[in-house]
Amino acid sequence: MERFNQFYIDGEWVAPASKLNMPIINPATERRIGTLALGNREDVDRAVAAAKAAFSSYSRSSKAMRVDLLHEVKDKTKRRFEDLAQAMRVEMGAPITMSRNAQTDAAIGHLESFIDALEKLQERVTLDNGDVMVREPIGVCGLITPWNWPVNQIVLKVLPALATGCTCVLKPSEHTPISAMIYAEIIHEAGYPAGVFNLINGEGPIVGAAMSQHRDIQMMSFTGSVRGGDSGHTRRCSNGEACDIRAGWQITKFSFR
Amino acid sequence: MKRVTLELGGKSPNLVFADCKLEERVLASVAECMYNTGQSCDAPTRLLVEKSCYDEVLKIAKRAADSIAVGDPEDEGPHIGPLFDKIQFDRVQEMIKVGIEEGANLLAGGLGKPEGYDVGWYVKPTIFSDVKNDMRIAREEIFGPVLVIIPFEDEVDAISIANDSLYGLAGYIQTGDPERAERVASKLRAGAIHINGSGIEYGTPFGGYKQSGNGREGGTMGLEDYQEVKTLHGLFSKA
Repeated sequence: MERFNQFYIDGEWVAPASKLNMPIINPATERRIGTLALGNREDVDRAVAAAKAAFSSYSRSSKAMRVDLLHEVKDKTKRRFEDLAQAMRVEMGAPITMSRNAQTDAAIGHLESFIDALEKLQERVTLDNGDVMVREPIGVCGLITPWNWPVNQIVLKVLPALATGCTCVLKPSEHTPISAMIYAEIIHEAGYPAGVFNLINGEGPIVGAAMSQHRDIQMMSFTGSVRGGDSGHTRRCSNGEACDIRAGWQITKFSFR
Repeated sequence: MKRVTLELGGKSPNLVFADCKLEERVLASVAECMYNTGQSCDAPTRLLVEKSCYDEVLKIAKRAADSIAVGDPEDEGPHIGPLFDKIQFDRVQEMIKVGIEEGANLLAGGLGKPEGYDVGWYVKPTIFSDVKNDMRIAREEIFGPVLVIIPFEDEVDAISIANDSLYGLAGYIQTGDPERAERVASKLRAGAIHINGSGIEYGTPFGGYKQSGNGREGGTMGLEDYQEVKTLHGLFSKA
């Protein structure tokens, strides 16, 4: 598959700077599906730069435009529904019935509730005391998702980022890259401006760490394991300061699930 | 300073009181633990059972585990598939071994692949009974189809065992008493409490207490996590 050797950056599928790769195996057959290109810090820099450049105009897009784009995503998701379901069957071994009825259904279910929520969300409110409060997109978001509910977790992070006017770099689990590639195609077909959404593959200690340390990423959303406790992988999030991890726990190891 | 939202898994308790529809709720509870081959962060992996119905629950749970089909992901049906990778197969086998060594009673399943599955990372749906909450299999997230069953004396004891965990993603309550359901739910330190098998709807905020993370995903709160708040002062003359 051609996409195995490509990342989606700034609106197009591009060759990675890194030469790293790993085999992708179907867990039901133990057969190799393909060889996945894994990124490095240079690839992260390139994706973040695209997201940063896109943020200046996309962050000012109207709510109506963002709602329209989400409706486009819904339309394209419905068309690629079976592709997503089959991808998760192959890459993580999800039995096809639940892959459709639960794993892929989440792509539509969460999307519909985000559209409802965005339509109702007041982005500008006059407070009782006369002051005005506005809600603005936080910036470039780094999104790291696990292999156990691949599409569910992608939509729970990518969609709210795009809905609120943020731009993002997604690093899905390197074990389940196919559903993420299809989702990138869905976002592309929906018509988002180049750079708003970017996809790179890679390993936590390299790509995940480069994202969490990147000065131009304003927010990290991570779903995965707290397993490990290997302090050698503890990462500082930005500008030499420790992460604002509100519960007080450290991400000690990016061993993604 | 970055904003960071995290969702980091769980070891969610499932409190079975003797006043629930025992057969129905225990069968469903075992199935839910094994769903997605146990690879869900909010799976009900610690079954806490009231002592007065403990022996009966073990019988139902064993039947439930033995009836869960393992099968090819290509086939239609409600069976469970393999684990996602050899890494996970090895982790789950190691934790089953730990459970046996810790002295828990192996009620169903166990080490090795199910019969007829030499190829693929399939595992046996496994249940340990007579588990103590300080055993590793009760404290660590296994992320496979492995259930641990722990007896409790009364409601206070059940809540104490349920909350004695680093995690706090979900909690499950099986009871025929709505007042008890709400009373117990209010005391569980977890982000989502499921009563008698009810699932979470799309759009409801999802996230955990304690080491299960911070932030909430989905719906309105899921949007707000991606926003900054700015206030404007003096836009309008107050004169």
